[in-house]
Amino acid sequence: MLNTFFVRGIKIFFAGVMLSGLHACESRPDPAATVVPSTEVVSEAKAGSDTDSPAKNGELAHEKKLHSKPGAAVSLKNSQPLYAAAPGIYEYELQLLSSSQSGKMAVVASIDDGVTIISPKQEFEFVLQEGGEYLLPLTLNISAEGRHYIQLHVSIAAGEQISTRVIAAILQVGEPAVKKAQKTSPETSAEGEEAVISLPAQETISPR
Amino acid sequence: MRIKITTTVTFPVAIYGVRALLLCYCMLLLACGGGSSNPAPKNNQPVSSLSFSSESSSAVSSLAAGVITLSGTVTYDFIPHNDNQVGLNYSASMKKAGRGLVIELLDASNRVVATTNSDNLGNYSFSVEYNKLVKVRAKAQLLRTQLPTWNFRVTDNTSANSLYVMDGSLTAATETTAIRDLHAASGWSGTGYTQPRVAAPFAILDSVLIGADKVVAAGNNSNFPALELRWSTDNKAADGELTLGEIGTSFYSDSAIYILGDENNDTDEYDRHVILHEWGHYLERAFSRSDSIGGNHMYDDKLDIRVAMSEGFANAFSAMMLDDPDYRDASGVRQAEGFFNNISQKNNDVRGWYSEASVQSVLYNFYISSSGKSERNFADIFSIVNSEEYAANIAMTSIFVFADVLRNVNQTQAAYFNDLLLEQNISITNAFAEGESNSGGYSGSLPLYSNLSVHGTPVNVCSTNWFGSFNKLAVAQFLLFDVPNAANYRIVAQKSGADSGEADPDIYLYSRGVLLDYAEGTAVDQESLSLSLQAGTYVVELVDDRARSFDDSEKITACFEVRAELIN
Repeated sequence: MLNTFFVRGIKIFFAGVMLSGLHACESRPDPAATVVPSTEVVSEAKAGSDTDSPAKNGELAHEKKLHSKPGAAVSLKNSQPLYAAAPGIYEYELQLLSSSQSGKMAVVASIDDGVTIISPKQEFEFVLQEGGEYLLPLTLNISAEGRHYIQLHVSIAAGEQISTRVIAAILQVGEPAVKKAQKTSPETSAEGEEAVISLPAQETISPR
Repeated sequence: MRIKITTTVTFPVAIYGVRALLLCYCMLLLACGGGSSNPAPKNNQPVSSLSFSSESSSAVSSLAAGVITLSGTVTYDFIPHNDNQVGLNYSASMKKAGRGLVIELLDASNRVVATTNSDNLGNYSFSVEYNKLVKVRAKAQLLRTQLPTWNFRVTDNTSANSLYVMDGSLTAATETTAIRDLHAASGWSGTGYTQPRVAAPFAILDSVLIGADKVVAAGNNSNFPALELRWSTDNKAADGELTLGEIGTSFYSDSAIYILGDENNDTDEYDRHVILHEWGHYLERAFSRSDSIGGNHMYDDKLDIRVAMSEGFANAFSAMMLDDPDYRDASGVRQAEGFFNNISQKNNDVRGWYSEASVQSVLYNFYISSSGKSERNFADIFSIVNSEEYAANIAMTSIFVFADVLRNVNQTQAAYFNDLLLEQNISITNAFAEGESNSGGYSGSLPLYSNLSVHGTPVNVCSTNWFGSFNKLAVAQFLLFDVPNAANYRIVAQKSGADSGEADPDIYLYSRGVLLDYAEGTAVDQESLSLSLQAGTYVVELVDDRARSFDDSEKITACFEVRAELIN
């Protein structure tokens, strides 16, 4: 069957190589520094105006204050979206990183409708080690354009402690939609009040 | 007028349609012994499940001519975890009261004609014009107008941050329709969510209310800053566009809490510890102080001291609010997987001031103890983190600062707290951890604060990603900078000693946790920061940007000589 795929022309993309720069909408917020009362007179808080060398970029590298929930110590080496120009057969190689240096890591890969994992291996197991990078080769049959997600269910067992994390790699096939269709149309109340998403109640009406 | 109804009628409207609805009305009116001159209207509203019952035998009390009391109860489905703590147990689904919610009465034009709040049992009540077409709306909003006030809303980040609401049917307000109970169903049908997940926003809010009530009971009388909790069935574990639901994981930022809702992958609406963990971060910002830089973390990580404190506090906070030490987070296919962690556990694999497991263990076990205090009284902890001494401390927030403040205000309680610290290999010392000997396996992580003086001997510190990048132990190093007089100063960092590659040091300067200035230049192996300072004590943070941002597979250790100079 793979020969057929080669006849059709296997387009090989590696995670982290084909990056699309698809981020255009709302980005993660960069929160302001926590301000607490200070009894000491100090110079006014500012943003690096007196640094003695040019800044690397406009973003304060130090502050990406996303306080996330606990989860297994694993992440994608590159979380940028994967890109495919059109439906077809593609091979990808996702790379996971973990700061855990002992234990075992199990990964189960899956994907949503419109894409099928056709590589025989969709479940992986690794022995964690120092500086380890963990490769997940996946061959995908993409039948529909759009934004898809490769879901990785990760479980790390170290000693008696088991931790999990779900990671999703973005796969953009074709051009990204300018604006995603709303799955639920917000309803605007009368007199210009706030937009709401109306969900149906299970209602029981009875006399008093 | 007093009436007694003995008939019991239950009709699924979706099956019998409008004719059955009218028949139902007629039967009830006849049972009332007459009826009204105003004909019962048709109900043309699409309602997923609407039933009429007349089991009540209580009396109707019209307040006045033309006015009727309309009341009811709001409930939602709550899905607990399995007994083994892993995964959700849908077969144990239970109805819980929708407490403290904003309840509105809307007319046929969707205009709000009355507003109230549900009580602790989910009950609400309105007075409304007799026979007026109205529907009841339960908003996914907790609003409290008496002091301390709060306003917590569950919105959809994939739909312009619109507020979730649950609507009843548009029905004439009469004696026969005077009780309207609204239930938010989970949408679970046995194998998946096949119906709208109406319960989710209300489950999230109820967890928040547990926390808010307990914080008020702990003595907080300051208003809670407004907060949005953004949840969507599209909120998934991909890092990308928030408006597309690509939130990565459930997290708190200073503007909102984002919550996963991706069925068969990771949903958090019923993971109360997760909700309260994130709300704990909100609480830190609202009523205390956190210097945490955020980032991924786990119990057995060796973390930056600021992160260990914040995450350990948030974990312990969730357990304290729920009085349940088993932190549970469901995920996976049918939400049947996940993990749990016993917050009270003392024999953690990683123990020390850099361990969130240690911090959570100390705080939670202190909370449940009765040694010199009332057990399970959050006030003992809230009074510390809410104090000026904690929030305006010169040192960066840590378990050392908490302990130091506690010792200053309550020595009786501090004795037991000290024991808990020692069990976690944390020394009994001051806010700056002077004398701490637990290095976490890297001698360069001590002392926690080196002393930097003007024109003094340069201080050698090392930044490494040996334990991981960004927010892990020893990526950042701290120096205490004593400024004797108001003047212009320069802080210089220069790489010293052999190291792989070209270092990229960055300098940050804080006063009591407030970032005053920083230098993130591109110069190789060196950095400097010049600024005007008043007399006082500051904290300087030094980081090699490579140790912060390189991935975990490439180990970086770079040492620097840091000095301070008087410019003029």
